[in-house]
Amino acid sequence: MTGLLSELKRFERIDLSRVACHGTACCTAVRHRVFGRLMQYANMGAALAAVPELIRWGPVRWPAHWCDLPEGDGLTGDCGVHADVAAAVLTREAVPHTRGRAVLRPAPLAPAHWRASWTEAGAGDAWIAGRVVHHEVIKVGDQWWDPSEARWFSGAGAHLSGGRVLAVREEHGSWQLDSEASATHARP
Amino acid sequence: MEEGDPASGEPTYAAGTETVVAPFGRAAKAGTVFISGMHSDTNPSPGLSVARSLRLAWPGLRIVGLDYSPESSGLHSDVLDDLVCLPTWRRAHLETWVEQMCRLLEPDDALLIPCLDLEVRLLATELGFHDKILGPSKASLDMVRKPPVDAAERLGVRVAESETDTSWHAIDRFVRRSPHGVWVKGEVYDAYRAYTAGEVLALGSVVEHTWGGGWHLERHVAGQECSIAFAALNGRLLDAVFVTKALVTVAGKTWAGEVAELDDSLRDGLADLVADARWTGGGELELIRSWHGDLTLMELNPRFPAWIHGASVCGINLPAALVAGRAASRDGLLAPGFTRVVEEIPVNPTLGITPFGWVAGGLPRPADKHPSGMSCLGQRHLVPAERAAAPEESIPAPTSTAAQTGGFEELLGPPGPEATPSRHLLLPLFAEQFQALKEQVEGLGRVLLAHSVKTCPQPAVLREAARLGMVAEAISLAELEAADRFGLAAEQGILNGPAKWWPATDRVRCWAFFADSLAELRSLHARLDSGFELEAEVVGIRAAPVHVASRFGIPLHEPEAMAEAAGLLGSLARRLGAAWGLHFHFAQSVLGASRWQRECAAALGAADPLADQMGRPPAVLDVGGGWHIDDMPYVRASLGYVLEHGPAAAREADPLLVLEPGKILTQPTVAVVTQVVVRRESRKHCDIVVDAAEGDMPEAPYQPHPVARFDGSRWVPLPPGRDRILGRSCMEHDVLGVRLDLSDVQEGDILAFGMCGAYDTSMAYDFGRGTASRELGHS
Repeated sequence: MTGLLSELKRFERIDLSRVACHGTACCTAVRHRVFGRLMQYANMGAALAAVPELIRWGPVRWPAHWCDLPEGDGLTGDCGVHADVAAAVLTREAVPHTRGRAVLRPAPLAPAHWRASWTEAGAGDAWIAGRVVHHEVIKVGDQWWDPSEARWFSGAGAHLSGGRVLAVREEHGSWQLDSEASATHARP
Repeated sequence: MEEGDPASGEPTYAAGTETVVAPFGRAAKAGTVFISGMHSDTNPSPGLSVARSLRLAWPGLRIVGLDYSPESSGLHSDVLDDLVCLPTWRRAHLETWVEQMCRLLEPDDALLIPCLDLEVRLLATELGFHDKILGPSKASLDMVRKPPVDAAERLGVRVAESETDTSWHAIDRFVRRSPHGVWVKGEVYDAYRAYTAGEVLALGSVVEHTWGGGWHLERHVAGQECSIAFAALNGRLLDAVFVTKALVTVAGKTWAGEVAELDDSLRDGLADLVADARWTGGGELELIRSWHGDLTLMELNPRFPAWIHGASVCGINLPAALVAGRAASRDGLLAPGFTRVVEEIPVNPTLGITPFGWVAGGLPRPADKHPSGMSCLGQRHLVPAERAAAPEESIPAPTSTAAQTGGFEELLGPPGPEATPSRHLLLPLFAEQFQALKEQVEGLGRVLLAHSVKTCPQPAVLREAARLGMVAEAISLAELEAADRFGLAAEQGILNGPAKWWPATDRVRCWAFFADSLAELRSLHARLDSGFELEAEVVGIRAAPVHVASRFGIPLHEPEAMAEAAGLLGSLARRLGAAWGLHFHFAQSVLGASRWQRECAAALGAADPLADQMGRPPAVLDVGGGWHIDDMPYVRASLGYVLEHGPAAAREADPLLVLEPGKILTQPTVAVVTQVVVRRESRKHCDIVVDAAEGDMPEAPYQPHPVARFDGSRWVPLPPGRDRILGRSCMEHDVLGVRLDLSDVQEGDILAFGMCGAYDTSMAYDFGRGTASRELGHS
């Protein structure tokens, strides 16, 4: 638990992601490419599910601009990009929400893959700790939304395909720990 | 890998310190078997079935399930001692995966049985020969690539007809000649059934998009689905089982099966095949057994089938044989077959339950058969393609004559000064087709050939038809009059269709007419009562198809319709002093020769009961429906089938057979010459826009047309590729050509579309030229 607490403190220092815009065509064209596609969906769940389908999960060097996302024929972005875009969709539709973060415990062999991919891309891997990883999410009402997997989840203690959710925290809020962990350990 | 000594009765790899179940005996030392592909739903991967079989053989063996997502449901099974959950292939790093797989297999007693198609291939590519992996090598896989022609030959069984040329024309032809439909098969995975060229093109795009590889077509083979599963080690066949599917799911997956031993012939052939391929691992041959008992090989999968535990519970445990390195001796089967049941199990607390995932389509996600992201593995092109993604480019164009779908350009002169788009009549092809048709019907008895006026009412064609001795088949009095004007005498003409008496007149003279409905028969009686003067030597009715939906004809297979039709037709024939006839009409180009001849024979079968009720046999049997230009060689066989299997009257009463094959005569007689006005490049392909549009060739969006480019001295056919030709109009569907190679085509170039006779000419219309319709123009 001590290890988890120290990782939580370290993750707090990671800013929630905001994709920046150069204010010129290089970025506005990509923004249009993204939101033009997302506007076609009349259903909010479908629109949010389209975010990770449109922007393939992969490494991004932060601070990132919109013009950094195109890669090959598609777009690439990490959970921070997904969260920022999903939040913009929610804002556009006037759905109250707050940005947030989660700490996941993935399957043991997974982090090595992600560290290798991020290193190859020259992107920072501060989001990957020893046994846990930092993941950006969104709070909508009393539910949490995983913008990279397009799934609702109940908060700490839930399982996502990226791993078990050990802790969640709304922006400017405090950490909520997995009940199993908080039953035996003090809250940070 | 060391093999166990069969004589000792000791398996090499099974757990030795655990209780061991006969007949595989006690293992020498503790071992771990990793098994991948653990997802289990109505389209399961084989992993859980393999794990159960090993558990059946060795209760104490350490079995570890391996997959690429916590949503892989079999990972939750308590059959497993442990699990390895790797990241989905959307998020996996190849080199890290290779390192981790090697590390998992470092212990001397560790083995991997890979059960995912693409993973098997990736392991073979990335790890090469690995003595801990019980899967086929790349060389083995190369020997059994799809379509499995070589494997079928070695086994002494048939192989399904296939087509690797995925140009539109080749697809259209293959589908038309596949009476039970076709399968669009991905290079490494997935298969979809299709019945039309349009469906094939759409499903081929789905396969390319989903799996990132090429595809081919296989003809559906009707019959009983069977499989041979086998286990082999270093080219030695260890054991095999023959399963006949008894129940299948909606997706065609096995739910129950009869289990049997292979006969000696199949076993010998299989042993030769695995020896030549130096096969290691499980495998499955998917087969169809015909009604006569012949086997056709459809596919060879490089892993155990997902039903493999069904064979194990019957006493043929192939996964255990593979791990043991030998087959267990057996005295018959423990059960004659197996069935599946659904079982609910608690989730593994380590993995938990992953919540519902939304999809962009807005619909609830169906059970995902690829939770491990295998399709992403295909899209990432980590597995080398077995064939090029666009194999059509390497396939030589089929030999063709000028009157087939290629070769029209040989008759087309250089482009002249006239404005494009322009239409060019290739009249010699009409006579060529007529001659070919005449040869087809020679020896079939009394046959009269009719020119379908609607397929080409051009005066030159009508005159040529008259010169060749044809009669006119008209669908209106206006057509009959036009035909008469250009030499096809009305009194020798045939009237068909639902509105043949239009425009209204007091007197009609023709040789024959065929009423399209009971209402038309009743109406004719009423009109005759009112003074309508009608002269015809033959009065007839059109029989509706029995098996395919049609808006035309009388459903004579329904007793009430038959009775009323016989009464009305009989009285009409007596009233006009005419003989009677029966007509069948359906587009052969839609059904293909095989289905058309069966429909025709079935519908004309009504002639016998009609004859019984009318007291005399038919004088005429009239068959029609636009035949496809490529199917000329099938005409004789199809008519022969109809005469042999149709009504007895066709053989006993010597009726005149009238053939109205429609567009097969006129389709090649026109070419449309057009100019390229825009060329649009993209990263993957290019589009060109030409000054012709669907109004100039209305069937172009729905039927493939050959295209040639004028290179300054001659017309050169465009080869197959991935590019499109778009019409000049603003209609989304105005796409005149697809899957063509336009790399040599530039703006300003002159192109020619062949096969623009028939409805491409007779139904052409002005659109996008600023012209008003006639009615508005007159006002």
